[in-house]
Amino acid sequence: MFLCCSPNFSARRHQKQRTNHSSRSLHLPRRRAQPLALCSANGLPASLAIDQSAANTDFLNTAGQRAKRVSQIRIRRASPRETPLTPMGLPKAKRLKKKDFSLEEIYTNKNYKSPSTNRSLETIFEEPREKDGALLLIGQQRRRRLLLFPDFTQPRKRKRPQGTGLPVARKRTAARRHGSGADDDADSDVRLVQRLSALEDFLTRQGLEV
Amino acid sequence: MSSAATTSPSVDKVDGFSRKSVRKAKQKRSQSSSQFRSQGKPIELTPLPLLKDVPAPEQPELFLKKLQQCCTVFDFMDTLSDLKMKEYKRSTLNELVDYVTVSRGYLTEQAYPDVVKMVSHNIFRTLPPSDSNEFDPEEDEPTLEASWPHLQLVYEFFIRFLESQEFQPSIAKKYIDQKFVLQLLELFDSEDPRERDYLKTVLHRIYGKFLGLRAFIRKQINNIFLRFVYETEHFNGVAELLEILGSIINGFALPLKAEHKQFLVKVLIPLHTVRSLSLFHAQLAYCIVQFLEKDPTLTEPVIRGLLKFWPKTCSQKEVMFLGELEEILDVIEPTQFVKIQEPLFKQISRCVSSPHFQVAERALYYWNNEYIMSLIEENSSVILPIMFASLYRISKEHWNPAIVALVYNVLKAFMEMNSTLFDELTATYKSDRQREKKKEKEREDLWKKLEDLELKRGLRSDGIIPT
Repeated sequence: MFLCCSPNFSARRHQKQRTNHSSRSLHLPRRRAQPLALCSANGLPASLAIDQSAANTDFLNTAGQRAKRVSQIRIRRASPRETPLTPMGLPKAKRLKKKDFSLEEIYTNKNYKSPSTNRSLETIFEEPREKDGALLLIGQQRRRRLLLFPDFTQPRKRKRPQGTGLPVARKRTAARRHGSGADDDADSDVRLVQRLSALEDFLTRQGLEV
Repeated sequence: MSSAATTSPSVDKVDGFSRKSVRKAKQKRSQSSSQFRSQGKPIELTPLPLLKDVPAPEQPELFLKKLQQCCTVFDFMDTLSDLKMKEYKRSTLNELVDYVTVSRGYLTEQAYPDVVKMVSHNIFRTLPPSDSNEFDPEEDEPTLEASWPHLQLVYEFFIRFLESQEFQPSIAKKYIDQKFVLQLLELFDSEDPRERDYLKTVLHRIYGKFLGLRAFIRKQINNIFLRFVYETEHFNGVAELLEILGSIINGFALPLKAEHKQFLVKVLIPLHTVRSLSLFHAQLAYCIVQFLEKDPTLTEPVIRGLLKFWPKTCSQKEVMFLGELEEILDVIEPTQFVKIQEPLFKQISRCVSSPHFQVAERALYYWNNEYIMSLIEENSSVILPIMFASLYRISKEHWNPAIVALVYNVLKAFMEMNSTLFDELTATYKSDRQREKKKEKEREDLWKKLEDLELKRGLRSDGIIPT
């Protein structure tokens, strides 16, 4: 099933791989999601339709027809207008873009406009708060009450300061990063591969499965 | 929204419909609701003067008269019927909206019941059946409310009434009562997103201003959600209700009441199990994170709850769960992390091994999160043993090369964190595989022995095979 939210792939990732920075981000070539290929109305790509008509020409000639050659008939290469599709692949409803609607349009809901995605609500206090002598039941600040999931392929900025309750020891890469980053990283790669190959060899020799 | 301005009701000029739609409308007449069939003759409303045209002392009474007129409801399924009167009502409603917004001193005590009556007459109705039998909110176009030209103005009017500076909940509470709220909640099942959006604002205001109704509203929302999760899996207004709840949770007083914690565990967590989670996941996740920011000790029950309901057959949901889990981990306290790390990483270990590459990828990207990495590093002695076996296996077996590459990076990170442990685990892996092979061999030998035994027995007892 096609997921509605495919991750954004960053071209910078290739660059990162080349420079071999030992940053936390995982540097690999990314698999790019292929968009759905749009076909013409009869299900064939336009070019193929043309080829078919050329083939028709030959067929007619060998059959001995004296009629006008098919290739002489002008083919209208009307590329079908892209039907706008929703992410699920269904035809998207066409909404009128104007501001003033006729009476008929109003009464038949042709003036439909999606409710604004701004939608923010004020906090409602369980216990009324006192402010300037008055009792406040509802806050003043409006906020969006939904969690917008960020692009997980991008490293994220943490909201909380690092210091909150986090133990001090962060030995690993913090120290090593200050050294020659590139060398260290390549070094790690080598060591990892060594270990994994050793393990694999052992298993193979012993006739064991992975 | 487009509408006629407050000019005199243009009842004589209604001629907006093209000939084609007139023909179409005639065909649709048979579909009209029985709500309107009792109105035999066409509706006639006597046009009233405009509020701005009468002196101030007369305005409150005229206001009430207009409210009374707007109690008349029209059949919008029959597009052509009573067009002039529909336009008159629309124009009057527009006028009322403006009047409520700018006026002072119009809100007499008598106005309250009349306002509530007018709103009730218009909005409380049996919702129209869906065009399709099985309306799938993810795929189908919603059935739009036919009477929206009027309904929208009624909602707009009601909201401004509630927000008016003159509005007094102490008077209104006689008329905006539990019965009213119950009917309001039922309307959240409307397929029309515009209506639900208005309802969300209306309910938010009512909850905010009527302290005496709050417990009732919470209880009813509970019922709706429980029915949704355990009985019908159908309700169109879950996202909107969750948004309201988000603003309520954000305002909870500390320490959190037991009722609220119950709600989290018994209602919000199970909401994750429904098929249509994607429609309201953003709002649900917001509520969950808000709870955890209020009371971090709830982290353990929340994560255990999510693990309990972890999707087994729906990869799309699995990716959603992983997304939500990362948001939770982003705000988790290290003391809480330690409590759930074992079951958590057992699940993550399963996810990285998933043949569905999007699930595996989403889980592996946890290692891209600095804070999570720091927590893992702090507890690598516990986490690495849980993860090692799957990571190694995947590095050899997964079909997707990008995943394999991500796994290599994770293994590398682990090795850098704790290379001693890494080597120990490699050794353990070897011995585990050897032990498994030995057991397998023993099992095979045992079967072989049993087979031989059977044969010998069979031969001894004169060819009769013992049963």
